Amino acid sequence: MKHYEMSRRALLGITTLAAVAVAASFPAPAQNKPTIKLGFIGPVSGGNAQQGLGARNGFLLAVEQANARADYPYRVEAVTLDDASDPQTGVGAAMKLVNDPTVVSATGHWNSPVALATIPVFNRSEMPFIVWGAISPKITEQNLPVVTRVTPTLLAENQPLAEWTAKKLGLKKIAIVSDTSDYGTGNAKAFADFFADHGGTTVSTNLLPVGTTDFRAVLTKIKGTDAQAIYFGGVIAEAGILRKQQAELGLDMPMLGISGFYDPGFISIAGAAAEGAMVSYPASQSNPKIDKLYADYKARGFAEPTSPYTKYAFDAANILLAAIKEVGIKDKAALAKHIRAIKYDGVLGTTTFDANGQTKIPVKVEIKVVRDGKWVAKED
Amino acid sequence: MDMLLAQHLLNWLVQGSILALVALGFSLLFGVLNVIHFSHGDVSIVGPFVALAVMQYLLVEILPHTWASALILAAAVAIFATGCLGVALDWLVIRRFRTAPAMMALVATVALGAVIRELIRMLYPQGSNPQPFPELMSAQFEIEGLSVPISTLFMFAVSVLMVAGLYVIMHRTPLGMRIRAVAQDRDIARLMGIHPNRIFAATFFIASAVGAIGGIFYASSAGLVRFDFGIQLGLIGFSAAVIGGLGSMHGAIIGSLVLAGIDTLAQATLADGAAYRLVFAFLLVILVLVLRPSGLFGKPVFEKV
Repeated sequence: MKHYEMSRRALLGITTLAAVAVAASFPAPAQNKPTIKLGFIGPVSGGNAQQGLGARNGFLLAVEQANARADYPYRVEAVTLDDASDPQTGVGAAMKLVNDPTVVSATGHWNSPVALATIPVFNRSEMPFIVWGAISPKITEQNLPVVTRVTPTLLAENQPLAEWTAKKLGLKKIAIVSDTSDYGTGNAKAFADFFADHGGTTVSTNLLPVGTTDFRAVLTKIKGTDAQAIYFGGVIAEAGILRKQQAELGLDMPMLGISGFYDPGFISIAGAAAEGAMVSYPASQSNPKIDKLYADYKARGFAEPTSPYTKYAFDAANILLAAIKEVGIKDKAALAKHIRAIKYDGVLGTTTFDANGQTKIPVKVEIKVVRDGKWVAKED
Repeated sequence: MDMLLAQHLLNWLVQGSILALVALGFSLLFGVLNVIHFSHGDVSIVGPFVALAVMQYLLVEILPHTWASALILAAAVAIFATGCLGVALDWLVIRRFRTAPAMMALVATVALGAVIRELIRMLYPQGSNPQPFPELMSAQFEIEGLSVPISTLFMFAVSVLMVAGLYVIMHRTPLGMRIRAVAQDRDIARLMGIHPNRIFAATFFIASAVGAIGGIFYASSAGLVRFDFGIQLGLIGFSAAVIGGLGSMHGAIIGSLVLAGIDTLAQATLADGAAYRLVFAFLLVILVLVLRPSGLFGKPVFEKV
């Protein structure tokens, strides 16, 4: 009995040795490369998860492609964390990244309030950070040396929308509903200002906390004004609730907004009432690089579909990877400087950053509208 | 009548009656057990989740069912299941604090609320995300610019019926008499041959089932439900019960109407009212506690020396 057990153990040992030997004999240059970590934070749970998951997958794709390239000098490990659209959770995730000495840099956030909460954390520990999705102007206005952003600000989406509303739709009076976050108040102010530039007036402004489920009192108030349309400056879940209750109260007027609720979640919450809601959204580009991204994404077989932010997170990751390849991982300040000065040719076009770290890629905006339960481009 | 005023009144009535269904539970449980059941809001939100799960099962497995009848059946299952959940929670956790200081039961139920929330998040598919919740009835009609969804009338009617039903149960049935007896004096009731534990279980069932109706109405009126809706629902429902006077049933109803009224009034009349709606509501709670610590209809508590 004893003998048998010994031999089994010996057999196990031999097998293990053999396995190790086989593994080691694989031509794996990856194992000679030093390993670094790259962080991603975004809302991969909660009401905005669709946006965050698509972006996370774009980020993962960029990292996997770098690992597959023989000439990339590092083996990159992706660390993806959830911020659940919540500033507190976001700061927790940011702390986790900056406290890990092997994390070189990171990209993150769809929600502006979350980004505004975490960028001081990254700045304090001098970790280069690219914002892939949050669009409040305040993020880059602070000009923190480590922070850059690959998405246009909400000004770039509100300006054309306001102009289009005044000129093409010919509306003069608008009621604004928004959330009380930096993003919501930023939108409310930006749209009101741009709309006024084109001769429009804001007849009612209503800010409600994120998480509001009852807009009926506010909508009834709007019913008593001579508003011709409602501009909503918040995000998906609240937008869906607002639209649904708007229909319920018989408030038959268009609902307008920016990319914040350009999401299938809006339609699933608002149901049939979603029909006709309009948003301005950066026009979809077509170039060989972006086509390749979507083909690769499909080939990789992610469980979730692409989101509008997949391409931004993909380029953000690639800009980080390119800068790391160029400058190395020792000097974080030099890395941040290099990112600011980069001229990166990616899926978004050629990204360069202005003096505040904001991308200089101009945006062309198009209007999307809900038709038959789907977001489609508006036929002028 | 002014159309806008009528619309505001309608909004207020519906919001108030949904709130009342939750506040009633707080008041009932406090009256009978002397326990502030802080997870009552979370228990109530289990209702819509069970209803959604059952409805999806019905629609997938036992087709063909019309949408409406599936919802009604699912809601009935959910209300019963939530009632049972209340009984189970009492048996598992709360009953262990019967003779303990009230503070311990309070802290235990706060913790219990967190457990329920996270369990919903874990067990329900995609539990972190908001789940669209159907309207109870989709038809609506319009009178001179005032739009009245049938579901609002339905919710209001059911709330009134529930309140009436509870009143009948409490004052016209043997069970109600026993509940009131236990509420008045647990020990004397026991001497009279009443099993307090059965009465507690019955109270938990009633409070949780009525809460589930409130939760389902809340979800349906918002159009969606999320695992953490119970926090706010519980907080506001509790505040309404406190305004009315914990332990008093009509106090809970009046408190809910007052709270919903302040909320609607602030949003309708003040320029920036919507942003600070909860501030006004909770200021009122503080005001009531300062001026009438036992609430509008509560009986003053005398400490026996």
